[in-house]
Amino acid sequence: MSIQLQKIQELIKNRETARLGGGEKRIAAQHAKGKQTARERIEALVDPGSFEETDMFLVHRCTNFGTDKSHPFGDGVVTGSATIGGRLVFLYAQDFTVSGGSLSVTMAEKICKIMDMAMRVGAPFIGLNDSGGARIQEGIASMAGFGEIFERNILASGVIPQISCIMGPCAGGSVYSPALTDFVLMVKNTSYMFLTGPKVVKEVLGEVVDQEQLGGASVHATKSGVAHFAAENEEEAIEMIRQLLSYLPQNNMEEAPRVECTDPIDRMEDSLNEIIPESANQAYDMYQVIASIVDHGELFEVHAGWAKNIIVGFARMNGQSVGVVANQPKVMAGCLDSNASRKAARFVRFCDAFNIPLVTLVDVPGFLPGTGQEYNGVIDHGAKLLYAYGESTVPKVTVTLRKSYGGSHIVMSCKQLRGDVNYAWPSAEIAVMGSGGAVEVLYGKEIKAAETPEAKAEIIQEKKAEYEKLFCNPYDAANKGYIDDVIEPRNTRFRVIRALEKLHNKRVENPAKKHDNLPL
Amino acid sequence: MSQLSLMKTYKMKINGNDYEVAIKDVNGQTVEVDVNGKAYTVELAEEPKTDKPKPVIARPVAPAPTVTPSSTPSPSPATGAAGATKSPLPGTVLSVNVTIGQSVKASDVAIVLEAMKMENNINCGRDGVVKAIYVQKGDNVLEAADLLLIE
Repeated sequence: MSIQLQKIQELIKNRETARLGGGEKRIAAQHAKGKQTARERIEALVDPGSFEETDMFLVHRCTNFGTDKSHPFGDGVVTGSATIGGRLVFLYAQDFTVSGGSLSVTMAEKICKIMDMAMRVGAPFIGLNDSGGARIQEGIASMAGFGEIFERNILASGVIPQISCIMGPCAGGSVYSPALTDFVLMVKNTSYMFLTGPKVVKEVLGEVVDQEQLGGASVHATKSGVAHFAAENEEEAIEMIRQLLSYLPQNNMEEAPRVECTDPIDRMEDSLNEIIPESANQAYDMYQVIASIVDHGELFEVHAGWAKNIIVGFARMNGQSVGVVANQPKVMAGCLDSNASRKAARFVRFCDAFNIPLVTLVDVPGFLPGTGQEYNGVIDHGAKLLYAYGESTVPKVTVTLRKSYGGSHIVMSCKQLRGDVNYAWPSAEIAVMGSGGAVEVLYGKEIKAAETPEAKAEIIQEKKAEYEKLFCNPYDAANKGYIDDVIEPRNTRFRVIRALEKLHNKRVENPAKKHDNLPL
Repeated sequence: MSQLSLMKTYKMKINGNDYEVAIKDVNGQTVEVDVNGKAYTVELAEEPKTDKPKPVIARPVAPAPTVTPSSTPSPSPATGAAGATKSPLPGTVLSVNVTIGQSVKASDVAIVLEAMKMENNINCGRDGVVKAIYVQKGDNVLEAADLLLIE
């Protein structure tokens, strides 16, 4: 064999070694936990044959604690580029079979290299996390590695979509890269995220809690809101990433891809004319309204299990990607509270950063009162959503279905927050406050002066009716131009699509500044 | 054992309350201290070493000053029955649709709560048998209050 052929043989052998990661025994152990290997995950995620690996032969340079005895190719992470749905992405997948996927300074270098490439060409960045944490043997160098990654996450924020999928352990410093990205997906039962593990929690606080209870997918998808999506298994998680990307542009200079729309844009939905219950204190399901107006009834919901009193997610209208924000009267009366405000604010800001128009469906009785909320800083959290709507420059179409009262009316994309097109259904009640409270303020003297309880009730009843006639309708707002038109509910799909079409070339600039200072 | 002539002052925070402790006199294991200006005589668990006086743990002879909790009441009204179905928002109980001993499904409506001028259906939240009901019609409940226990 010629020397050149031998060299090629050697390359092939090295590739095989690298692809085997931590060896067959560890791969089997990974499979036994119900987890795929890094390369299997990438293969499932990207278009067949599209993955090009970077830094396959990179090895660590550490010599402490006997680490110089072994130099596995790739150093515990697989990085590179590929296409998903024919569109370029950059991605990494931590390989738990090599040094437990622990983060070394060299692993960080690999990750940073593809992040820099993703930024240079304006393509989404995806991380598949499965790591025991920092490579302790490297000392502070591994922390420096984390820092380098975080800084890039921060600089890439709002420039390219960043998606993190947690498919195994993700603890300590590892959690911050996902936390800085736009979307976090977690796989149920096999992944967890926390800053400090159950062992430390027990030592410091005496609190006994297991990994799943402390930071499992169900916890972060329902209680903390850290995870935007919880998947039943890895296959579902990967399918979710592919779907999510289909709604997003490649970067902040582009628009989301438009798909052909086979759902008639002027489809009348008669059920919407009757969906609002006769009685004002009865709820209805906002999902039905969303399904009736978006293309094919498809909503890709974000944060489906957390703060369910508000619904956020991606959908398409006439094939164009839109961000839907809707109060859900069925849960907690659809009120705004701290969590609902945070959830919607983050979503609105994402859509604005990536040129995705906002469609807002309003039925909000107000902010949730009480010490629980006020102590929790609901003022600041509510202000976040207010801020998010107010600063956003993407097309904003709002439909008020029923209630829209006081402060929550302003927050939910009102005209004065640069709402472009604001519609209302005839059932809308757009007012400063409900009739009960208003009458007490307006007619307090008269009510007090009433001699018998019957007379008192009569006055209240009479004045309430008067107030409701005057204000609890869409016309007070429409008379003043705060509502552009009152529309028939069954025609909502067509009206929203037409509004979006005419707003397509909308250009609004915010004043130049170093950056804003939203109430974090 | 000689007397320590130097008066030492310690500042500490216990349960959020500030204490200024001045050691006035050390005589063997008996120490006179001032806590926030009030005098106490305490006994040391161990005799202090004379060469290097260090802070020691003192057992108060006089009853310790009663600590009143700070004026902020706890915002959480939850009594913390593990696994209880809790109220997601403050409101008034309009009806209780389950009885003790009844088998229920997670999606069954257990309680209708009027809050934010709306009737809110509170589901059981889990499959099982109703073990306890903590509220009745007309009760006002706070956010996170226990409503019922299903096991």
